[in-house]
Amino acid sequence: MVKISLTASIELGTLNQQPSLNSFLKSIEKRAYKITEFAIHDRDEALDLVQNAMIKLVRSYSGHPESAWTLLFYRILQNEIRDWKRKARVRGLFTFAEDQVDWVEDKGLHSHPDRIMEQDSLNQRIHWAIRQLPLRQQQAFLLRNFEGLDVQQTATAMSCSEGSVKTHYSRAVIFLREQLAGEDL
Amino acid sequence: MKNKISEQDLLKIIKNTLDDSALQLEPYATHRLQQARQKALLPAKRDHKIQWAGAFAISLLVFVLFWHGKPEPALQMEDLLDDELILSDDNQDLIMNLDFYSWLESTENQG
Repeated sequence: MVKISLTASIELGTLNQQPSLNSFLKSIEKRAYKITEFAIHDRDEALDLVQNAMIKLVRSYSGHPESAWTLLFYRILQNEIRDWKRKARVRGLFTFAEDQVDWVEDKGLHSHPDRIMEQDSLNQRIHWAIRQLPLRQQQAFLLRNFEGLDVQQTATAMSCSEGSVKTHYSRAVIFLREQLAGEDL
Repeated sequence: MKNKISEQDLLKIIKNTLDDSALQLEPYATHRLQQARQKALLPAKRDHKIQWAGAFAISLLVFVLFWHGKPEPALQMEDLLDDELILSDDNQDLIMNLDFYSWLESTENQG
């Protein structure tokens, strides 16, 4: 019975936390969506993953202090992205022909910046360059530069060492510098 | 650009560009995010399968107790509650994310 009461009090705590949880999610959702969309290149799937992360955060960790929510949320989201990528890879083994068409179209869009130069804006060039980054470099860069997490926080969110974060981040910066060289910034 | 702009300035430009694009999300994405938030904040509903399994287990227990005529409700009910707790979403999550929880514990200890 004590356990049941404890569960009830956690649920009550969740209800009490709702206004601050709502504010927290509202403050983070757009950046989280962008970060996810960069990783998986699919708007609807990205929105689904952000929703999953929101649900898991609220159901499992809303009782934790507010200061921990950002890290917990991104930790969950990174796991969601990783799982999605794994599943996509497995799906790719069985639907090769279908994916190959998408892949060719994708390459066409992302690998030839000259094609979109005419109507290009700096915004698009930067987005294009970030999309070219390998996933870990991209996520390290976005969590640090866009979300504003420090090295330790990024390492926690990505479940890797601080050294790895530093390496991923610096490689990402070098790559972006090279890709955006010549741009009229 | 290499000679024109410092790394710090480049990072600032990228950050500003990303911030702007997040603020100017298309209405569809903004709407879906709002819906996602509302869905996440709804009180959690228990899994129907677990509810049915629990109801079945209780019925079975009552039947067995009635049949044998030796009821030990306190002890058996507690066992049942334990089973229910083990089957709950939160605890399955606990089992599946032990490393995540140990991380949580370590950060809480540091804090």
